[in-house]
Amino acid sequence: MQELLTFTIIGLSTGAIYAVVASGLVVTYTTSGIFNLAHGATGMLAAFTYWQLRFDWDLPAPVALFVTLFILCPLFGILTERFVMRGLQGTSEVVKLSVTVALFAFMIGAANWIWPSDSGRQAFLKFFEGNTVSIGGINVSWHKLITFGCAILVAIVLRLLLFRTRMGVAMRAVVDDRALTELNGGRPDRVAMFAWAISAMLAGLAGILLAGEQQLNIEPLVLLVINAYAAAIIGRLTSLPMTFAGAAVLGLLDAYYLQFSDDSWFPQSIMGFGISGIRASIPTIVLFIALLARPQSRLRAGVVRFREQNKVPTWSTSIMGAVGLIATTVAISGMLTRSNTLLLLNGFTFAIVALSLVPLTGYAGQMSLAPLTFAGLGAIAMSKLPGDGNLLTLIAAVVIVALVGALVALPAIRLSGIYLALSTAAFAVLVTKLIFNQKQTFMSGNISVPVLDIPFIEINTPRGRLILASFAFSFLGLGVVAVRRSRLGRRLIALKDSPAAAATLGMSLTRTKLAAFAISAGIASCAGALAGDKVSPQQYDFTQSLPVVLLAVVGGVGSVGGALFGGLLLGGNSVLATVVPTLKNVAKILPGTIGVTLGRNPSGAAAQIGDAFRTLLNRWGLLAFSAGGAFLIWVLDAQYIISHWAFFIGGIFWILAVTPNLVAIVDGTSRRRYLAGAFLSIGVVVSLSIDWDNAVDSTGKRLIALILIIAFFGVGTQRLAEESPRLHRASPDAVGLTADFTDEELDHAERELGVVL
Amino acid sequence: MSRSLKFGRTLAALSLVALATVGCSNRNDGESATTQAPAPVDTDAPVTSDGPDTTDAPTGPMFGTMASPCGPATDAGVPTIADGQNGGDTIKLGTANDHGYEGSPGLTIEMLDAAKAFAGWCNAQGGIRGLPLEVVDLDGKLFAVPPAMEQACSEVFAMAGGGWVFDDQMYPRFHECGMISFSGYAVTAAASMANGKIQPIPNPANEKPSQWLNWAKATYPDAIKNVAILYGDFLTTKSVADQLAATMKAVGGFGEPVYIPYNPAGEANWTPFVQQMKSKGITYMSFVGSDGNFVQLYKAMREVGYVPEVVLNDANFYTEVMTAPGNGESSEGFLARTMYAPFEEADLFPGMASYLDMMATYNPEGRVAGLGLQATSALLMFATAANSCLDVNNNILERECVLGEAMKISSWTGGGLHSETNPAAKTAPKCGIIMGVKGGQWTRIYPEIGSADDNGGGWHCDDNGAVTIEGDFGDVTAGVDPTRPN
Repeated sequence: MQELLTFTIIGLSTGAIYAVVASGLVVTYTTSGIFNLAHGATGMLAAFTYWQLRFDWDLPAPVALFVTLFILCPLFGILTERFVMRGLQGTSEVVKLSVTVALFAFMIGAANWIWPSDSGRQAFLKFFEGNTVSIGGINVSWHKLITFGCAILVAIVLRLLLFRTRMGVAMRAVVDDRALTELNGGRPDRVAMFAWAISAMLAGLAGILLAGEQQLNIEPLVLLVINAYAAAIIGRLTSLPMTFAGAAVLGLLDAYYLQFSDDSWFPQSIMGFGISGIRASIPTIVLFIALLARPQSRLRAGVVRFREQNKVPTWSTSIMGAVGLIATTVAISGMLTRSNTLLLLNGFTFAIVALSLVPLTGYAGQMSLAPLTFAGLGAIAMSKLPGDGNLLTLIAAVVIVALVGALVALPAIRLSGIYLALSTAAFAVLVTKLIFNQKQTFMSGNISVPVLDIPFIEINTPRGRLILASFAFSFLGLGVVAVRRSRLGRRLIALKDSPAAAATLGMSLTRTKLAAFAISAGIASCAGALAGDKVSPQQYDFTQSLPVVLLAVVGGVGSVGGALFGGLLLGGNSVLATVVPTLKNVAKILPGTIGVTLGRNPSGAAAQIGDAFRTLLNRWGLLAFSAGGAFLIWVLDAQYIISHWAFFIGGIFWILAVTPNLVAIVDGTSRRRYLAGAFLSIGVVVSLSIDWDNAVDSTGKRLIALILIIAFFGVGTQRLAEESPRLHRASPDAVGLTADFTDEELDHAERELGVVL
Repeated sequence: MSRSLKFGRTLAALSLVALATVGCSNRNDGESATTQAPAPVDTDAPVTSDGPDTTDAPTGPMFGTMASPCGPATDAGVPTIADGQNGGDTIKLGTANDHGYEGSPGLTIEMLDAAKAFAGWCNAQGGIRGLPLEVVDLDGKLFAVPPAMEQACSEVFAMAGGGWVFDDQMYPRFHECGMISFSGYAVTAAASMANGKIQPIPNPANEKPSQWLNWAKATYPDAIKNVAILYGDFLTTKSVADQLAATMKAVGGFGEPVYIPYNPAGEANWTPFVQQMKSKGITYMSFVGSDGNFVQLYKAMREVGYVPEVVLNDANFYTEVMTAPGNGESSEGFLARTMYAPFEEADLFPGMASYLDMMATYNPEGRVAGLGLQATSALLMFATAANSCLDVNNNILERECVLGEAMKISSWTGGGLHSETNPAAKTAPKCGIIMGVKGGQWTRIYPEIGSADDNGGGWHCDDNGAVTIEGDFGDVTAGVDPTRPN
């Protein structure tokens, strides 16, 4: 009995930490509608900042706390709201969540940059470290009591704030109906800013309290917070008292598990699978149950229009793209070193995983945070199934994982938006802890996935595997296009655009969702099944899935090209850090930085690039000219007239700078187009004729030179060839809107309307 | 988060893996390097058996207790490198590491730092008979070992002084391109049992050092009856915990250990673990994981007011973290084994002094730590074997010849950097030192210098200082190419 009391006290002290974290999440969500995955990362940054002030610069604790919690944290929250989150109105949940992932990535990169690991640094001490009081026969540290106190204080203050102050009422009003609030004279932007400031303070408080228990370790500080999501969901993201109850439950379950897990009646394994991972999964299991206990999400009637838009891909473009991708890979792979070939292969693997999100997220609007989990299952299936990697084994692996995907979706199917995303995250964590972390699956740390065995074709070289990967991507990509153009594709789009309308017309939402999940899981499984190498469970960890989702959205999750772009960017980022050591730190924050700009271009980068090339559609003469030029450059290289580097740089220049400008130069009417043509020609000559191998001494500098050349000649030509500068005037229709149209939006509107100013 | 978000990683946990298998203490103690370390040229130091003594000038520059293997060209002229082995005007040595892994930035970079310093130190004396060394960074970034292995195949003469956490992923490519490795450390069973390589401090998969457990058994015969092993719940760390339990079993006298897994990504509250041990009456504890987590557990033990009678960990906990400001006090009484010369005793160990001095002179920004010391030992061994090879091979440097000469080394201390090992026989070291935290500082606990237990040079060695353990700890044949001579 005494022991039970002891563990109860311990459990409640753990729960207090979760309570502080979860309340911050709830405040952000109730006031901005954004579920902030970067909440833990914010706390982590605050903890580092506090450490810097308190322990490295030796400021008194109250001063350091004040500066961190009441100056820097609110400032950070305000800046985040103003420059990142405000632009996200009208975007889908997917984009919103991805931006918080990007923010998360950005902050981790920044912390790594500012505070490189240093084992000998001054420890992060608890408040009044070493002081304890005896409660119920157990010594409880003052730090834990303070945590307790903070949890209660936060609860009271938040309650008062939300229900007793004007600002609090405004905050709740904004969430209920933003437009209505605005009509009544509310200022939603200012309210949101205030909410983000409060949320950042709460995150900072939690981070500092947690760091006392944890030391300054980026990972645990960021990840432990995920446990608190379960508490937030128990509170349904709105109820603070329920959230606190949830936090207490989590802490108690954890403590009781530890107390009882060694008792003789407690099973140590189930069907030979060790269950030591259960304890770490408790929050996830609670999260899953809490999600399922939620009432079915209501279908929202009314017009839901998202800013991100993707055109239906045509067969001709798709097939050309597929063939072009394979041909390019074959041509380029012959020139890469084996080492670079493997790095590029890595990019293709990520691209296939990103592709799995296109039908699910891009078309059907369902968010999954577990794409790599399915890839891991694919890898296990491929290596365990008989057949040593022949085509039948691959098909069997894909089918099995697709079925698993549908099975997972079944309980989660009642959910939508953020709840669905979290349930897939819970699934990913459970699989990681309970299936990947087992001898039966990953042996003592890794397994060999056999290389695909195709009769008469030798694939087992880096180049062979790269070409296979490009083929696999093209094949799967065409499959995705086929889905999009089919009946099922139209159902998927309907599911995203208006579930209510689709259901009204008799469409089975459940069946459509299941199909989307199964297709997605099947595609992702290919990335694992085709690994053709040794793989370890860490590669398929839940946390690894986040950047894939982020980069897929950055590339443009609505299109196959976007998936390719995102995957290669993810793979290429590590290449960048290798070849340009000086850019290492920039590379750390690059994906995050790109991601936070999603608010401006929610359709993704590939869509933007695609727009540049779209002018060439049906211009067969110009297309032939472009292809011929690329071929000629390749011939120059094959004949050893120019070096590989000149080929690489000249080729990229031709594709990215010359081709998109062709239409403007040919169709233009002003004389300036001749000037533009001449300017561009100089660029071609420059890129091809410089002796890159000797004139520039490192790969990194060559890449930088490439970017500069493209920017200078490509963008310069564009400006020269432009007919006349466009003028954007506020349209009379836009009077009363709080924000002016951006250039992109005006461009888009003009194009849609067929108006050229 | 870049690419893989690395975050996560979970990863931090992975660093544990690296650490769990080898010693890895981390100390940038510039002060000791400058105030305590004698110059590397120390002609008074006795020369112990450090493999074939190939240098003909015993009074020349020294590294610790061994004559420097580096120097200018001999009368035979500057050596050449065999065709097809990435030769040229320099000997290109690839140092494997995982520092580019973003989940744990700088992971094992101390090995690369040591290699760079070693190249500077060696080249200042003329290189290997006039051929300078050039270090190539083989960054496996944890998950990108195959590309790094390809880079090694296309760029370097030999791999030296490094290691990857997922080192079994280098096979079979390693053998296909005829590479040789003087490994700083090996993690997986496949790599530790592989051929084509030699390790200055071997760690065979089925034989483990036991001198430290013998000491615990003799010193605390009662406390070792109630054992707990806390470990990070990862396949790889779990395997290390299993190996520790098997070693205890082989040594005998230890009670059946209670396994307590913790979440390697971190725990929000360590108190329940302490309470669990307390209620089970644990008197002897070992922790498998990272020192960062361990420090927090120790603080929780202090709060509860319960610390097992003996807390003794493997060599990867002999680190600065345990004694960092704010930690040293609560770590009081904690014990760790080491097979390195203690960093605190550079005045007694010329090898340690030379290492610290080499780092201070040639790579002052570099990280000083246990793995760096293992890397230095591996590079010294490469340089020694390269000299022997040139003697017998017409002044031509050739991979199998260099490895073959190294395989003749049956006694090695890296100039006094670590306890004596037998790299040729690939057996686990039988000597060690027990260090403990006293007054916030690492202090020698056993053996007392000059006492009967000091078997020479401050080390205690047991005849049964290494034991064979039973169990399946990974694929021991995956790294073996039976067609290779060594």
